[in-house]
Amino acid sequence: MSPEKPKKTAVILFIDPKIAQLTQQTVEEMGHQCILVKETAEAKELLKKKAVDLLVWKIQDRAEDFALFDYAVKVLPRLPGIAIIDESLEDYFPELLLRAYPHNLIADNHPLDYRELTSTIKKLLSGDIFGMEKYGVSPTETIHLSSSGEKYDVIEKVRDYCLDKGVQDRIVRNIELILNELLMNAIFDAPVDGKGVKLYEHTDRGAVFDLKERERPIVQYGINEDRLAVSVSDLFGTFREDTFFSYVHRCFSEKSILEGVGKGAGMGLFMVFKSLNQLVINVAYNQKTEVIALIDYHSSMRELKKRRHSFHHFHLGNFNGKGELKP
Amino acid sequence: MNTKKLKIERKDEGDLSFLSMKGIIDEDADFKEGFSNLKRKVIINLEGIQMINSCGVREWIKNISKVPENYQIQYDKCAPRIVEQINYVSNFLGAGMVTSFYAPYYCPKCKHEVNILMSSKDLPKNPPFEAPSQKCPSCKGALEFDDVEEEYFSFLTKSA
Repeated sequence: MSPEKPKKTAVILFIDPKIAQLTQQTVEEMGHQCILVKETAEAKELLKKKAVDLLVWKIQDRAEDFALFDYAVKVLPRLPGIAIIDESLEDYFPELLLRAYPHNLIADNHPLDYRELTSTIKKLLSGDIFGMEKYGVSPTETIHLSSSGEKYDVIEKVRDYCLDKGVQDRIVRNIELILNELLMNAIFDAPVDGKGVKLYEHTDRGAVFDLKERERPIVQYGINEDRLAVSVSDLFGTFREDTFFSYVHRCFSEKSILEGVGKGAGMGLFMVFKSLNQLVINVAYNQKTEVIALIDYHSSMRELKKRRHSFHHFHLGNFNGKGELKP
Repeated sequence: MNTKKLKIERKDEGDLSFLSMKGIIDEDADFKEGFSNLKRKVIINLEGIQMINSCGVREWIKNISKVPENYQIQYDKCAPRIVEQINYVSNFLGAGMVTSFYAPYYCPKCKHEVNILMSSKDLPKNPPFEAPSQKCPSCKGALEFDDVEEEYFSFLTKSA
C-alpha cells in the first residue's frame, strides 16, 4: 500500500460565489483542503501561519492585491498563484514586471472559462503539467522533426488538417504562424550544451541541418468541438521565468517593437500571443519545455483579437537544478 | 520544404521601379535583387504576401531601411498580414506610405472570407475608425468587418 499523500491547502480570496464554489469543489475532489477568505488581512494571516500550496484570487484593487502577492512570495517564495484578470494583461504590466508573479493569469471574458480554471488548479496541485489533454484536446498526431528543413512540411500538414476540419482560413493562417515561430524557437533557441551555452543561437535561421536526437522538436495538434490546440516541445527545458516575463513585457508594452535591426528578440512570441486565446508554457527545467497554443476556432478573427488572452507558465524544479517530470 | 518562398518580380520604367511580391516573407526571403539600384520612385505591390514571420520582419526592416529617405515609396494592395505588421512595427514602412490595402470581411451567411481592396485616400486619417459597409459578392448580404477597427485602420494616421 502506498503512503497517503499529504493534503495540500488552497486559499481563495475575494471571488464571486460561482468561481469560489467551483474552485473549492475542484480542490476538494483532489483530496485537498480549501479555505475561503474574504479579506486581504485574513489571507495574510493565513499565509503566515499555514503552509499554503495555492493562492487563487481575482484582481480587484490593484494596490491592495499586489501588496498581498508581495507578501505571499515573501513568506512562501515558491507559492503558485492564479490571478483572474478583468482587464487586458498589458494593463497589469507595470505591476507584473516588478515581481514576475503570478505565473497563471486567467482572462475573464465574461463568462469565465471554468474549464481553464479547473485545469490550472489541477495542474498546480498535482504537478502533472504537460499535455494538451489537460485542456480537453486529444492530440491527433505526434510528429518528431529530424531536420530543421522539415518545418514547412509539418506546417503544411497541420494546415491541411485544420482546413479539412472546416476551420476558417484566417484562423488557419494564425496556426501556421504560431507553428512557424514555435518551431524556430525549439530548433534554434532551445538547444544548449552541458554548460548552458546555446548551440544554434547564431546559426542562420534558414540553414538546413540534421537534428541530433535530443534536439528534435515534437509537434502535436488536435481539435475538439470548440477548441484547436497545437504544441511544440523540446527536450532542454531552458525557458526561464525571467525570459518569459521580459518577453511578455516586450509583447505588450512596446508597440513599436523593431526600432532598429537586431532589436527584435521576443517578437516571435509577441506574434504567437497575438494569434491565440490561451498560451500555456510548461517547463521542467533542463528537461522539457512544452508550449501549447489554444484557439477557440469558432470565433471570428475580430472576436479573437478583442478577447483578453490568458497566459500560463507552469514549471517544475529550479532552473539551476532538475525539474521533476511526471511519467 | 518551403513551397511558397518569396518571389519578387521587378520592372523598371523611367524613374519608376515596380516590385510585386508573392509568397512568404521569412528567414529565406532574399530582397537583394528587388531592392538594389532602385529608381527614385518605387511602387511595391504586396497583394500576394501570404505570411510574414518574425525573421521575415527583421529581414524586411533591414532592407527597407536602406532605401534613401528622399526616395518615394508607395505600398500598393497590402495584404491583411502586411497591414498587421505595419500596425505593430513603427518603422515597417520605412519612408514609404500605403496607397491601398485589403480589409478583411466575413459573410455570416455564406461563411466565407472576403478581402476588400480600399484606397487610403478615401478613408479618414484619424480615429475613431469605422470599417465601410460592404456587401457579399455572392449573396449580396451585409459583410462583417473581421478585425478590430481601431487596430486595423490605425496605420492610416501615417498614410497618404
